[in-house]
Amino acid sequence: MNSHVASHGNPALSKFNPLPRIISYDDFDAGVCGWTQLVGNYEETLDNIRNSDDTRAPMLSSIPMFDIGSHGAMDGTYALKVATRGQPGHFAYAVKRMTWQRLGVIQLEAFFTYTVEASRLTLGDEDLRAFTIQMDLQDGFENRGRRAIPSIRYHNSQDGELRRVWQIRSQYMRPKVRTGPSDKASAGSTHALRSDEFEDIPDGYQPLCYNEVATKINWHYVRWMVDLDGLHSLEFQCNDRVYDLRGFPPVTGEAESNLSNLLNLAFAVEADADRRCFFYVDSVLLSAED
Amino acid sequence: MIRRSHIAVVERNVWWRGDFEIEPYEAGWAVEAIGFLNVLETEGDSPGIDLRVQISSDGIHWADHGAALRGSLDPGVHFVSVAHFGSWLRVVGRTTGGLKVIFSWDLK
Repeated sequence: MNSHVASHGNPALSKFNPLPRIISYDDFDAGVCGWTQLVGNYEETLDNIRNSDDTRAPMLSSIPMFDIGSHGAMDGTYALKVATRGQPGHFAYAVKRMTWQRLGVIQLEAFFTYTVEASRLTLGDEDLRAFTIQMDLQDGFENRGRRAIPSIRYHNSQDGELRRVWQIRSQYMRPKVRTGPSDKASAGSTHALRSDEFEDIPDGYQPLCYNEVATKINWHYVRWMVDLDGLHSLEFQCNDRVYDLRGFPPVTGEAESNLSNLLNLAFAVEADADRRCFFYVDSVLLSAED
Repeated sequence: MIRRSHIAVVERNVWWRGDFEIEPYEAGWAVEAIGFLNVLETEGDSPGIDLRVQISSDGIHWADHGAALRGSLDPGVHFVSVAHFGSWLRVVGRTTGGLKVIFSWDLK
């Protein structure tokens, strides 16, 4: 199914394995490319944004370190950086909002890396709880559609204990709580990253190269294939490991009237300790079958 | 190439009472910044503020830049301009009353 036709003659794309139609290619030397912070829904007052929706603004980063200077991006100078506060359980979340043109197979690819703030001279590999790659999808509207938020999570650590296991979101726990009188927005936990919403992918233990001090980073490749027709994951790859996700049923909820054809991509990172945790991507490619 | 710009909201609908410190923001690509302080509500009459811009080479160790916003604030938009700031920005400071704010960096 995959095709290299789109990447021929283009070194920036040749490291990917895209489906024939490229929808977006985000190289962060050219800006944030539509990746922005998530904000919870609200109506009439900002006070009904949930406190947990403190998801922080993503940054264009040269990945500066106190001991070596700029580590640099995978390509060029800048990567997109998603950074938590230095609080256990805090998560930061960046989203890119689009819509789909056809209910077919799509594929998200990215090169990513992660580390913790070098505010202490310790490795900190157990201080980052998790990072998550997420889509927010809707195949129709009102009673003619379903909403789904397929998510792949690298559960790196929990309460200081390393796990390093890939997980898949297996529960959709969105309460239908309206933000105001118009009935046009919910204040639900659509993007919730609670540990109890995920289950381990079989044989999903995959220690990634984190390197040996917090100021050294290594880039990793991910590829995630999702079928919009059915709103379910097909396959996930990280570096040399490929996980078949076809056996996991789609996890869907009620459609929203204003989210027809929704196609959002997101990256999130969660802290496990009182230390800022950083997730970087450079670059990101979304492609689709013809 | 047309000049690039970016706006990052780094505090949203939060109360500043007493000492405050916002999260670091990395913007080494930009050569100038305006920190916009949108005061949504106040507690007390025209609370005083002493807001200082700080800069850093690594996002960990900080020094005062010199740019500052001081005085008594009413609801409305206030700002502080910064140039030659390197790669990292944050603001720290203190209020004498309560200020409910949105703070953003306007970068280019």
